[in-house]
Amino acid sequence: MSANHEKLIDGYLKDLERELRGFPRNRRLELLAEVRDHIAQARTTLSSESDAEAKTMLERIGDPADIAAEARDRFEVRTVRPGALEFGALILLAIGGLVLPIIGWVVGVILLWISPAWTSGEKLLGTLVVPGGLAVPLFLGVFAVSPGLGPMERALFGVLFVAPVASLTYLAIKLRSRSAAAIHEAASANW
Amino acid sequence: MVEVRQGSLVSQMRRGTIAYCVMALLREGSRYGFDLVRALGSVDGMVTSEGTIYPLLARLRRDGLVESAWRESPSGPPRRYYELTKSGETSLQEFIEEWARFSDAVDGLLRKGRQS
Repeated sequence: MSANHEKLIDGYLKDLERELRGFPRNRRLELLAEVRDHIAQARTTLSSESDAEAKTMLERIGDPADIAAEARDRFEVRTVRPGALEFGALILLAIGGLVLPIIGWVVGVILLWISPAWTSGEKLLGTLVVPGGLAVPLFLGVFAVSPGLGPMERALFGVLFVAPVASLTYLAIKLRSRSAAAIHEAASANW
Repeated sequence: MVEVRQGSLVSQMRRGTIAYCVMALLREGSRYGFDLVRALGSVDGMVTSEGTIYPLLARLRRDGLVESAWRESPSGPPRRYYELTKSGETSLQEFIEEWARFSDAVDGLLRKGRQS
């Protein structure tokens, strides 16, 4: 087969992989392997090596988006379009406490738990790391500049600043991957 | 009258029955994915996108209705063969009975509509 065929097929599989983003790794790899196998076998039935035939073969297999949609449907995976709820949760968790001490952050937590976009584990992470969000280190920062501060206190201050940034970044990344596919049953051990 | 687009009507009917068609094909013996897909595809209107059968197979496997095993193939690398499980057979049998009852009922009503 020509190099052009390889390119067409590689492109197709890459598209499929991208469409399956957000699925658990095992499920994604299995589907990809099955479709790759299917293509390998379909190729042996092609009568010529024309690009048109390779394209027809891929069209027969279907649009990668359709295959991913079918997979989401079969596994009751819901698509989540991140909206005001999710962005509001992340922003309030980070700096809500600065705008309205304590209450701003608490509202962020409530939004976080209302949203279907995250798993319980992720919500727990967002809640516990770190209560108060950036308001805590920024408030403590006022004291941190005072000269009598030891290295231990400085380290603690650093952790308090970095930890919420890291945990909220993690939640944002998860959110992004789920704008393609939200795993509603992520807790299911079968996956 | 409820207006139903022909295309979506067929696709809805296919959606509801394709899993059992897959299981029925497996009743004759185990098959690998490509073989199964082409056998389904040879029936008019059953498969529009061959690739969409694989998510279905994965789901049937998760539900314990089919199972798969890697087996050497006469040519090329080992293939994943799908096989009907006991529970799949039971489920298929139930569907076959339900389907016969249901299609008889619909056929009867359609005939009646024509006579009057």
